[in-house]
Amino acid sequence: MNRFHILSVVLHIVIFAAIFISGRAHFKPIPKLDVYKVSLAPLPQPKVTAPEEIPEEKEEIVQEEKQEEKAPPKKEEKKPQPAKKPVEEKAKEVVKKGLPDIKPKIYTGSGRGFTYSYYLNILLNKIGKNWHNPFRDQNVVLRSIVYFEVDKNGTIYSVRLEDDSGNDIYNETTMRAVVATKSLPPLPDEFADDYLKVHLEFLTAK
Amino acid sequence: MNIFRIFIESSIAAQIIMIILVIFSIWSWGIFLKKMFDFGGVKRRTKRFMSNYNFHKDTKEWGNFGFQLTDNPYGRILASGLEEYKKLKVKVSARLMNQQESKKERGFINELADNVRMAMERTKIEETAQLETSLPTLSTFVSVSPFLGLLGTVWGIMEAFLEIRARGSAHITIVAPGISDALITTVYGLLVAIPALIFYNIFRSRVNSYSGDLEKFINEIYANLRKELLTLSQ
Repeated sequence: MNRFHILSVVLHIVIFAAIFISGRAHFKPIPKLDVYKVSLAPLPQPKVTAPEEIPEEKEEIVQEEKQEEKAPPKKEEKKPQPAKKPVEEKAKEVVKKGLPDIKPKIYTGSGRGFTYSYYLNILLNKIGKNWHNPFRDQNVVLRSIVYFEVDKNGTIYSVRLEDDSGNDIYNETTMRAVVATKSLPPLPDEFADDYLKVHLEFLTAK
Repeated sequence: MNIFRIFIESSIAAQIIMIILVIFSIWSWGIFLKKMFDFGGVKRRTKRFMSNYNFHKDTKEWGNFGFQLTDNPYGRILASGLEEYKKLKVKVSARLMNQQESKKERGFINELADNVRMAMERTKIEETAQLETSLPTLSTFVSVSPFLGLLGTVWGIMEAFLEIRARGSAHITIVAPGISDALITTVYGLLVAIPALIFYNIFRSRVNSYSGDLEKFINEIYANLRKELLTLSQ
């Protein structure tokens, strides 16, 4: 080791010291955080329901009528069946369960199930981004259903309000959210039908 | 960036690689400083010799350059040429004394004059070799350092994947240390290799340039000494 290597060692020490000092000047200790390992829960799967079979309902109604005919005196004694729960209660229940504000009901053209949950997640995301809810965080309960159809290319058409919330502004925003989305990704290749019927429920509840 | 923190938190393999790279760096910078000093000295002494040489073009005066014939490559080449010339001069004079057919001796003198050139060429090779000392070492550092850095990179990534396998999770806190080890060794490798490559190229070009200048000087000396030998036969 000659004097030049010693000089080189000194030079390196100076460089390292300079980096160390400059590093200390800018160094901000990172607070040690407890890290918890978590795993993502599966995304809520939208319910895939087949179109209601009208004939069966008819049969039920007929059966009910028959029962009513058979036992007319008991009619008054019968407790009134808890008919459809009020919309507000339903909505509150849904919110308690922690489901998202937008909830689709899917019907396929042929009546077969639409099992592509990833596509529905995209659908919810895209429309959700376009929905500017004016009643957010307000103490009101509103629910509307917008119906639309999606063709093979993902284009949205036949948009209409299926269930009125009772508030025109709210209805308008929900309609606008769907219309503004315009198009979605093309329907999955494996999906045989030509279009998809969507009944999208928009819900607001604090 | 705190390099010491990174060093301490690195794995043993990465630490060893970084230590080796620091040694390489110290070594290459040492070579650079030494060569700069050597080339500076050679340049200074050569300049002094050449100024003296340009004022004394007569071959008879060359022997009087004294220490300047030994302290620089030009002087040493000239000294070796002169030494060979003196030996030949004695031989040629003796031959000319015995034989009167001087014209036939011209070919013989030309052949002998080549000995002068060869002696100077030999000295030139020695001088060039002297100037090239440590350049192969620099070249080795240039080639090896990035590979060592790469080794550290591969090692770090391998450890990261082993951690993933052992813990069954690809969380950033598990993957990040291995990746940071991997990257820091590459940085060290490049920090060693890049200056070493620059130094190598600087010195290589200087040696080449110097070698060309020495060649021209040899030609000049050879022409003069050959002329001197030929005048003996006339």
